[in-house]
Amino acid sequence: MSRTAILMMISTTLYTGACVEQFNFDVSHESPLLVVEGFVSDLSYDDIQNYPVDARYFEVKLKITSGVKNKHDEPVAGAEIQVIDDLAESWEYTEVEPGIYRLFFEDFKAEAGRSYMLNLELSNGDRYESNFEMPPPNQELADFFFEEEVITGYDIKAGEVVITPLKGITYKAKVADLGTQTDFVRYRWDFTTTYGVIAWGLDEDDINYKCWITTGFFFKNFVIAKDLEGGSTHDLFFLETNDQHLHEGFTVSFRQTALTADFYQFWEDVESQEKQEQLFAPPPYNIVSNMRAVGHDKPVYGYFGVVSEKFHRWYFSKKEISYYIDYPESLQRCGVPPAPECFDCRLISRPINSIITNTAPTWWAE
Amino acid sequence: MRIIKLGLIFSAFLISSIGYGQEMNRLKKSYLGLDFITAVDSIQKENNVKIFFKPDWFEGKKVETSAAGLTIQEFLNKNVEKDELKAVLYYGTIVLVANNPELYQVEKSADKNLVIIGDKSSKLNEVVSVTGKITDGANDEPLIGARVYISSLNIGTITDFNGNYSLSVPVGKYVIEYSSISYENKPVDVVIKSAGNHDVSLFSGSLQLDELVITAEGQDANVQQRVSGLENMNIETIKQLPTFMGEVDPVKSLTTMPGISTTGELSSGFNVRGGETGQNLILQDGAIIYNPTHLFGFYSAFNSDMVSDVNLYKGGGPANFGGRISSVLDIKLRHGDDEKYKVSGGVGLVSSRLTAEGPILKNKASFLIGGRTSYTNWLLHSLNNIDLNSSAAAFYDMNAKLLYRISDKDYLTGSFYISHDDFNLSGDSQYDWGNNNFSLEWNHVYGEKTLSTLTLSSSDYTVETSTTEDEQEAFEFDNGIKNLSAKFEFLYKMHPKNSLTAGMEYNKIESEPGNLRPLGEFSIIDAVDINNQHANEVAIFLQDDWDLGARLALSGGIRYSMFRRVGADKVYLFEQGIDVLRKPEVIDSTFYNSGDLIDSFSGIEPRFSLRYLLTTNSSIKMSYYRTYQYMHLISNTVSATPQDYYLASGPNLDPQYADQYSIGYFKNIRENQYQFSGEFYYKDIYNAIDFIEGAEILGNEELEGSLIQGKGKAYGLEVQIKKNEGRLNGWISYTYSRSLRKYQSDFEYQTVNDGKYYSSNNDKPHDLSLVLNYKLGARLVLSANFSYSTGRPITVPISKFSYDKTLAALRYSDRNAYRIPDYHRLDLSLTLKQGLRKDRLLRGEWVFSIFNVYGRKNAYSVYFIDSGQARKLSILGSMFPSITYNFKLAK
Repeated sequence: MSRTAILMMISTTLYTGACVEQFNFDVSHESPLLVVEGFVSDLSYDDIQNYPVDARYFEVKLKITSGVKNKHDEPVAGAEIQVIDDLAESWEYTEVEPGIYRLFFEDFKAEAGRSYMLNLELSNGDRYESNFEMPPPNQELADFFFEEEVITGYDIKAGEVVITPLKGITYKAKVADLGTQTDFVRYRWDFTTTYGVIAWGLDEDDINYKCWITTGFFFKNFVIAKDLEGGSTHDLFFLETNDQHLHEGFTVSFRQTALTADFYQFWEDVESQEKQEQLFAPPPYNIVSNMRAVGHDKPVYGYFGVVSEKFHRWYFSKKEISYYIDYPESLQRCGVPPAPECFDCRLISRPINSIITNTAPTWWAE
Repeated sequence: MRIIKLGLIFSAFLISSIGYGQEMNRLKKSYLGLDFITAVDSIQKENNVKIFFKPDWFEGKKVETSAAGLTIQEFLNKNVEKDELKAVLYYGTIVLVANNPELYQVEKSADKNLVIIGDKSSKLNEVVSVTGKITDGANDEPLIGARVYISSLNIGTITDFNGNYSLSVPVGKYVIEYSSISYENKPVDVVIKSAGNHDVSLFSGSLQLDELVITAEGQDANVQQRVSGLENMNIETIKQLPTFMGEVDPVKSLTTMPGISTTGELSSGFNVRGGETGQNLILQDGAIIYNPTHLFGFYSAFNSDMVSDVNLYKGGGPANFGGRISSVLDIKLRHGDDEKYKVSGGVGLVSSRLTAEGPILKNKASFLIGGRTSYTNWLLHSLNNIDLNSSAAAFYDMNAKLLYRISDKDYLTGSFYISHDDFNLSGDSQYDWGNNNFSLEWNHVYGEKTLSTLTLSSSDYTVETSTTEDEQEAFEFDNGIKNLSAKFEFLYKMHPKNSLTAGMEYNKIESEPGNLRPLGEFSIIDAVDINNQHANEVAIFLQDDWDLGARLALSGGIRYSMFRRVGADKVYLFEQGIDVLRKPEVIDSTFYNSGDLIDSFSGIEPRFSLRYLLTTNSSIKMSYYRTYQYMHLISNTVSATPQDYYLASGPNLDPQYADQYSIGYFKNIRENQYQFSGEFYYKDIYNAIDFIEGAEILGNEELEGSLIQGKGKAYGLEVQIKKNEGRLNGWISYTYSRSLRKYQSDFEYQTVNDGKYYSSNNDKPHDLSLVLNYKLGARLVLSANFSYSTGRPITVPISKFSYDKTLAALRYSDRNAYRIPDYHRLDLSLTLKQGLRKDRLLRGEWVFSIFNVYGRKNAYSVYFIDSGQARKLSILGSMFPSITYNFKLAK
């Protein structure tokens, strides 16, 4: 329950003319600061080919903080970036587009027992570097499973938001047994969802008949947890079984990363910041960074992580659900008049920042 | 009009003749040398006019100015001018009235005790000498430095070493006020006819049982009080202030005084001289009130119909108070009438109150019982909103006070207080909180010089919160605090000018920081039952109120407090040093069995306040207070909320203590009609508490590791100008103050804002209050209250950045580096009293209030949405009228 809701409630009760207005603090004198986003892991470009996920090179994104309005962060181009290990070996990043730098080394990975740091110099000569961090020991994949559940949620009926029971599954991760540990193992799971969509106005053999949409925003963007002995179970997300995206193939890629204590703290801070409106929210605070300025004192935000990671892919199957899931006929035909996407799957509406392709991913299994 | 009204008053005492119509012809006779009364009689008969006057005033007076050629009025004026009288026309009659009405004003009640000084030989306005001796009524010892004062003439004197006084004063009728420090003031109605003598005995307030009932302060109390930083408001003054929803709020009324402020709109918590809300000790009849609010601060916990007086000590106050470092708010409920049965109450739009009182045994035992209840639910349910229909908001409270006079030397009072708040939002979030307080006070007089008071009290504050809004995160959360207290005070009147108070206080405290439980089968909330904390606090104190001379008075005291935190409890050991990331992790814990000592602290708390009378109506005061606080209020908001809880000092949390210094100048002018005060204070706070970044407040049994302790300082200048009397009265208070905190450490996690001083949550440099009351008529009073203050500090997002799939990670400013908008508001109220007849069975008044007259959208709070954009929440964002009917029913 948000504090705001409570106060609005009381004031409404008392007819006190409560209102909420946008208010702007004059922060124009505050300088924008550099943000560093990137990580390296114990899985190289080559290693990751063995997993049912898209291959990727390690990247670093540089940008500057933006005003607290709906505005994208401005990329920082022209920087020279390298990752350096504790033996002073270094690898250079290549700028592939403004603000995005890629480490084009197929075999580069964070080796166990070695520490890595990021070193960068902006075009204006400002230098920054991260702390040395060592990849945590790679952990056994959690036991992923789901349970059928009915939760209470909102639905829209006749234009009104109503409370209704929602049938679905809660996907969970049970941490593997960790044996005897002296320190917590810190996990982070994030999810990338891919589902198929059909252009019902086309024949099945048309190249634009079926597309695949991949998004990282289908579910809550991440879950973090720490465990000392293993065995703890964590809810990852809830998936409604009447979701219209389930019928033409639906898969979720789970990335499990083991984090350093500092990086875990970073994600914990990010998570906590999203709860600022709640009644018991902690006092506001800044997210810690492992980056620091070199030769000057300009603050820097973001994090350069060194992690261990594993992947797991799960395909949704109606057969695994104890009850029948109907594919509504209304979803299997074009409307009247038919919309353009009825004849080109690439035009089907999709989430922001998602990727759509009319070619099945290499790991896609029907 | 004023003169005419006064004339009407005097007419009750004048010889009157009935008749109408007169001709203002010029007089033909001179009447020179004739007896004045005889001449006036002749004029009345000869001219068929009626002249109202009091013959006593003119005994022996001769006509000194010829009447020939003058009108009657001219003749009268020329002959009574020297007597400070004049003739006025009033509906066809002539009335002789006083130029200086106070000189002649005689109150009915005073006639019974009217003292005649001298014989009839002197003329009016002749200055004569009045002498006398003032003694202690208990032992006939002369009182040195006692004050003799005639406010209407603004003259006075002080007794010498033998208690003698001599005052030169024009003959006439006055009220002479005899007073001495520590003694009850004694006003005496006198008619001074010529030089004469009048001896007076004064009684020490502490030696008379009746004096234990708090009486209204004298208007010169601000100058005379020994104790610096004491704000006193009697309930009548409080009731005159404009109200929100017609509810009189004693605590909010105090915030119109300098140095006392609130952090937010409608917050019944208050801040004193830069202190936090949890640093105020709030007592109601000796029992601690932990949450002085109803409905999240919309209403005060105190029933104004039952409050007799409100005293707030800015600082520690006398040594018999302790446990908080910022202030002591001592609220006393009045006693029930032990002779008559009375009922009073008030009916408002959303709440009502009813109070009954009367004798149980006439003149021996009495009761006073009162309650308030809200009825907001009918409003909620009548609104076309599903959420509100399924919501509920209500409170009730009840006070009862019993008085039993066991004998001339003993009396007992019992005071009870229960309150309950029930708040349900949309049927899925429930907040319940309540107080259960009880206190028993036994006063015993041992002899002429000795008195003791034993106070036993208990306070039980409990909060229950539950939310099922999100089934997965549904929880119940309980917190609260209990306190059992015993306090014994022994007052010894060593000397008429020196009173010694010694005593001992014991508090047994049990704090429940929180018990968090998942609610419902689907909740994934982890249960956390934070161990209750147990502590014992013992204090011994000695207080001396000593008049060191006619001008110099000292109120000095020392308090020695000891605090023991005991089991059963589990105490964590936290990591420290450079390895700590955001917050320290637990590295070990120790379990203590019930009664086992966990940690102990003690502190010596010297306090003194010095007053030096510069003149009879001006003084300077200085004070120093050291105060210790062992129980700490943990709150993540700037204003008090029910879920705030207390943590005890222990291995991870040191006691807070403060040193406060003040110096002030107090001046009254025009017979105390105007008061001026200016006071500067400086306060050092040690071990002030704040949170490390990212501290989790709710249900966190490791919270102690997320608290940091540092230094605080507060300073300010408080100025007040007050007009006590007259048709227009009121005051203006202005405070310039700063309240700063500093947390500097070798380790980053314990450092805030680079270790520099920064504004505390309640740092509001400018604070202005203007209170005006204007008597429109005998039954009609218009009151206005304007307040202004600098917006409170706030930490704001100054930019954002995206990271991975998180679209807006916020970058915050330094802690409290910005301020919400300034606050200002004007309230008006009009009080219409029903007929003034005293024998009326039902007496009532209508109070029409307009809160926030010009609809200022003051910020209750400013919060931030996900993207970091600010939203200003105004709770009372428009003009808000209300009407209340208050009544008293008494035979």
